[in-house]
Amino acid sequence: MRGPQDDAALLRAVADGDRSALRALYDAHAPWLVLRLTRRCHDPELVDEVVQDTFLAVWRGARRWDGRGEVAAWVWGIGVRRLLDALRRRPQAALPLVEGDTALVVSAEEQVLLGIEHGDLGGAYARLSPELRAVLQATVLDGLTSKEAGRLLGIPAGTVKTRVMRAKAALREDLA
Amino acid sequence: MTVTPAAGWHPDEPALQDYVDGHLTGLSAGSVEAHVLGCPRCRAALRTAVPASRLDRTRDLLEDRLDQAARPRPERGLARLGVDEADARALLAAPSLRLAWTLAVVAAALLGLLLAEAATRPDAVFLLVAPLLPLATTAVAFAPALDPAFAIVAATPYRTVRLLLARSLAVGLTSVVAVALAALALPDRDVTAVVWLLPAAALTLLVLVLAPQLGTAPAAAGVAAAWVALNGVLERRGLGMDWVEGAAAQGISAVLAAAALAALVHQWAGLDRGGRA
Repeated sequence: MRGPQDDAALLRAVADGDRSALRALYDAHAPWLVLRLTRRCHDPELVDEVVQDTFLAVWRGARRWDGRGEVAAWVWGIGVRRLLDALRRRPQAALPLVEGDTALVVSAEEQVLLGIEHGDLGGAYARLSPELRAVLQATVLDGLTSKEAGRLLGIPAGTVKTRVMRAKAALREDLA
Repeated sequence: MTVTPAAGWHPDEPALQDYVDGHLTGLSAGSVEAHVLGCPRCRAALRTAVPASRLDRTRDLLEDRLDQAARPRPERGLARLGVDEADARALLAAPSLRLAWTLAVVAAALLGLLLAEAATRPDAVFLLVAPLLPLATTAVAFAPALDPAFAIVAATPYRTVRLLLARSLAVGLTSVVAVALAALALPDRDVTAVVWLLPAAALTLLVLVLAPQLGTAPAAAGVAAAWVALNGVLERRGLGMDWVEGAAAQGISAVLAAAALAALVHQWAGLDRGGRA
């Protein structure tokens, strides 16, 4: 099992042109990346392509990692942007960021799982309108900028910002 | 805002399975995803959720693209010019070709210098020497003794005719360009800068035809000597080097080149039918 220390060392080795280090990074990080991308794109071919793109970018850009934070988070930052690029070419492969009514049902089990002990954040989140949940998913959870989220959702960046603010205000009110 | 799970918290096995199956939604899925970014243990637990064959396939494709990106610059340059990948590699893998190219450039530069310095009849010097340059460089390109890669190339499933043709073309074109540059040193730029091309082609192809019988070096030396001797005889009869510019000389050169080329293609096709040079 590889810890964060190992990942950082591997990434530094990749920056020095070590192909076996890239292979090790791939083995550790490709599986969750495939799963996470699959939740946002229903075309497995396209997902695999994005995974390739991502690790190709890791290979070329390993030097640009600033050494802070999780390597996995850095990889995701690249991956989600590659996905964005791919979806711009093939918009029909995109999965809606927010599922329909199922999201409204948050079971007690899930709440325990989430470790949410104070306030009903899960319920509050589920009670948000789909538009507000979509912007939170894209910005807060996926780490996209307002501009990128706007491109993904087909709305202006300014709208993303106001929706995020409205969503946060709604959550605050609901949890108060 | 980041989701920071409490110390020691991990999604349990069924929750991860729900996530994999797409049954987890909204914040729950988001929480798993945020947690996974910071948790090697859960990342490892997710590893079995993606078929190994799929991960292997993606990794192979990734390795291919990395190899592609790692190809040497000249090879990528040739590929961008539309040269087939295998051709580009076969051309650039041969050290004797590099030697031939270097030789072509150096010899052409010397020729240019010679022309600039030749007080009397620079045109004659050019017409005598220029056709010998492609001949010499092609001969070098085909000397297997100079080329450790030759045995490997000959053993690869790669059409011999194609290889020989590609190599002659590559080297021949280089020396033609080099000589054309040298021709800029001629005092007056007239037809002289062009008329050497057909004799050069005829001489070079003749060497290639004779090389399997006589060996590359003797064939090249023989043809070059014959060319010089022919010009010596014509010079003594008062024809000078200008005869090359005549329609007869050009016509004979063209016919000779075409005949040699036909013989060559026939010969090389034989190589692919099983014989060896």
